Amino acid sequence: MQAPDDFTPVIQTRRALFNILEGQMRRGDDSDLKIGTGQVKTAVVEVDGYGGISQSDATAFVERTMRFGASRKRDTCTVTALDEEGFFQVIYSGRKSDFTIWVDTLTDPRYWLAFTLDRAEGFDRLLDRTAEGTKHFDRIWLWPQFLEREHFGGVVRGFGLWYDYNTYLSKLPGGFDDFGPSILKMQIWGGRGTWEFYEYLRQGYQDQVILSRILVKKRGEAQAYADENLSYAGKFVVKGNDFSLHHDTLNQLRTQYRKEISRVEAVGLGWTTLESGAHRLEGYAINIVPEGNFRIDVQAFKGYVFSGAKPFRLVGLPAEESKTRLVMDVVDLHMKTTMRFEIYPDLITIYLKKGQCGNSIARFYTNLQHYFGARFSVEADNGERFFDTAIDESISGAGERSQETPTGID
Amino acid sequence: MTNLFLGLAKGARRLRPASTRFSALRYEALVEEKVKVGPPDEHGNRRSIAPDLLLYSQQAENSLVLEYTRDSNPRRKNDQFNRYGMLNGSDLTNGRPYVPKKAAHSHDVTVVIPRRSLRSYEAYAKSEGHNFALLGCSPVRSSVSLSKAGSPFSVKEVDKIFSETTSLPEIPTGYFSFCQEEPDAKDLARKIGAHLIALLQEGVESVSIDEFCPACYALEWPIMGQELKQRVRKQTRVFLTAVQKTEIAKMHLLYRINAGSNSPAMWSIRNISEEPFNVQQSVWAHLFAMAKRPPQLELFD
Repeated sequence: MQAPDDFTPVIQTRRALFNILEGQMRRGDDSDLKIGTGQVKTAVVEVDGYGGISQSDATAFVERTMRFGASRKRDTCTVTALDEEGFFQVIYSGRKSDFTIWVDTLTDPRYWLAFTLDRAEGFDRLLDRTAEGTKHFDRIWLWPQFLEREHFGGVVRGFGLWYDYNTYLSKLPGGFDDFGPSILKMQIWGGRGTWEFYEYLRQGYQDQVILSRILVKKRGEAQAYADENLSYAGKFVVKGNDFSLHHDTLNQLRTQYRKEISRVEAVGLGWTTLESGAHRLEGYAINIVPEGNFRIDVQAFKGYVFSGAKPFRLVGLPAEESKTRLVMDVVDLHMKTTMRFEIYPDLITIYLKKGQCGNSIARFYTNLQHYFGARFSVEADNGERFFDTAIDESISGAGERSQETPTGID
Repeated sequence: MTNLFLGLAKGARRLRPASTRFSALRYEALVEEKVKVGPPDEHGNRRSIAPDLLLYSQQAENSLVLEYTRDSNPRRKNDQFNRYGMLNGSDLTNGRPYVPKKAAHSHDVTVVIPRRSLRSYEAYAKSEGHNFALLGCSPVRSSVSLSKAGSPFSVKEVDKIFSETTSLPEIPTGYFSFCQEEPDAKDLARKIGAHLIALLQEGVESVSIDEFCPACYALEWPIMGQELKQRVRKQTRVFLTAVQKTEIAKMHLLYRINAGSNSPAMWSIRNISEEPFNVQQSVWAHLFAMAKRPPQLELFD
């Protein structure tokens, strides 16, 4: 086991970590920070197969998972179980520097929390490599409607948009169409009126205004606050003076995300064996339905989405292929699983199997919007709708926007 | 055909509006190898039928017992149809309770046949006194046109749906991704290829044919009969063996680890996820090409 370097604080408990993270939050992005760029970053990640694992096997599981984050084969990944159950320190040692993250696997065995004070870009790369390397790890995928509706009891103070229809357009026989802007990427970081500006944009460019991040200010008692910069891949960069506010946000996010993914997984198709020995088919196919006049060019879609490249990371073997119908056995390179897809100009049908990860659908749907626009709804054959259902009002911050008073903290 | 009826029962979007009306009746889909019918013989044995699919609905108080055949001559199926003729509601609920009692209140044996044979089957059923509902189908690529004949369905709405629905343009494909009666080598090869790519992206120290198949045909495997499983298992082994002898083997991506032994075939599969993207693409392309022209089973027998 490699000893932490001089700059890595000795942390054995969650409380100790949270105290250090809160200290870093208070410093914001000051130059005197000792570790990395110093800002607190947290990612919520999705992990399958960890629930119910024994404590003795837990470290090996975390090691087996997180080692894929090492950037090169010669880099090392050292996982250390800390004093508290389900709490780990992971150090990636490279030639030039180390990268340290702390992983909390206990508070939700499926949706782990990863904390770091090192660089955000490195953190993203590490998480992406881990997701590519192992089938039981993925980032979470916050669809734009989630970011639009879920503000964790805070106030929106900024947003980022990411829409890139250009690559797909270049594959269309006719080239550019008349759907408006083919690229819309922007970031507004500001104070009051930010959300009104977002809503204004949405009115004008409903299909192209795709949220990729939000900045939410949460307030606690007295002057306590946390500025939560949340990306659609489930990564936070946090500033403020109260870590517990951020921790509440993490729990709210996980609750909402878990609820939606569970709903998707509940419609997974599979045969249930009855007492009689007969088998009954449970579940339903999931449909992603283009709305309005938008139609999918089946062949261009195939070439773009099923090339194996990012962001979709899907490859498919066609079973039937025509201009208006494409049936494919598709490999999800993230999850290392296969699914049957049917693509029509006005419909994408996915046959998710029972036991398969609903995160695949969230990833596909989220990326579909970033690269094709907000032109789709998701519905199972039984009529159940996903990803755009009303959020539990008890934890939504929607009602607070109009009550806010200026404080000068921004 | 199974995909068509499952799609109707499940409310498949592509089969609307027929599937909306049919799924509103809340039919559940059941697969059962054998249903005992008729009285026991002198040895106490009862005869049996093996429907291709059972659909039952407590809401409609009805069960549909589906049998598909391509045989144009119903006389050749006389014995089988006589057994279907013996079926009564209690056969579906007694002994091994296949369907809830309420759903066995009425039942319709539904014989699905090529459309061109509809008249001869209709005449046959009439002459033999079989109250079978008949559905004549003309599959053309992904679509099916339907004609109803024979006895009416017990449930008016079902009868109406099949009387009014003449064309179903796009049959869903995802419940059964290959034909259960005669699996097409290409359909199997595509599934094997896809599953192999998934494993190559992951890398597995060892996978036996007995582990590979249930995962590869995850949706279909639990309801496949032993004979079909053996057949599919064999085709899978042949395909993987063929893959193993190509460029994939030169790259040490897939190799037998128990060659020459009597135990079930077992392979080691290397992880390619860290290879450059173009290398991964060439491996996928190679497997796609093989899946398009799968090795013929008889060449390996």
